[in-house]
Amino acid sequence: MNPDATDVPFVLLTRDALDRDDLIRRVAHPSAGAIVTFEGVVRDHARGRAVEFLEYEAYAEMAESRMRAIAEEAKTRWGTERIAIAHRFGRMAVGEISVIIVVASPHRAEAFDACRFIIDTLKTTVPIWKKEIGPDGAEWVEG
Amino acid sequence: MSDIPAITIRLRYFAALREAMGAENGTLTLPAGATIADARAAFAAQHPTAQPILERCVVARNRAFADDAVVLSDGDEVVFIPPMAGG
Repeated sequence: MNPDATDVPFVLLTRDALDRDDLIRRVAHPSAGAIVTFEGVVRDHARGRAVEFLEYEAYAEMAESRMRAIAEEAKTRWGTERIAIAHRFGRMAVGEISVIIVVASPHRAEAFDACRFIIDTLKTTVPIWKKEIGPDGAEWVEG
Repeated sequence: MSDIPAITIRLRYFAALREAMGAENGTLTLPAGATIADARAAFAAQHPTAQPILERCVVARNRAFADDAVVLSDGDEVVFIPPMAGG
């Protein structure tokens, strides 16, 4: 709980492992009765093929500004003022966390809706790419 | 050539396009007044092997999405963005 939590969305793009608790601390607030967290986790298969690693690449400067713009749009549409979006890039093994989105709001409905909107929009409009690497070879994911 | 005003834009390559180009950046010289569509066509003509990827790209100019009609300026940073897949 952080009474001084800012209502400016927190955005992070990093090579390092993501810290869920730190993100929650950044958005938690006495007025927020709901905190919704989405975590994207590297999965061991895709389209019927085994996956061992994902290699994420980012156009960092633009990705950060797009993440910020998506958070601002969610804030406008749902009034959810406390949002954190963190995305990791580089190589990740199965089970590692590639993205975390945390939305805190007075009530749960808008937090769920805003969180869903953010992850769905992020996947197709933030310049981040991932390559699936498995025993059968490597392939860039499209969409 | 000297009597035709020209601009040079800076290109950065990512993901599948970076691999196809074997480089992380490049430049493209175009006639003054060239648009994003002109840049795309000139790039495709110079790098035919990148054409299949280029067809699936959207374009960013100076770190914001830009449509084909946008007129470019000397020194702009242009990125052909392959299908995105964050998350």
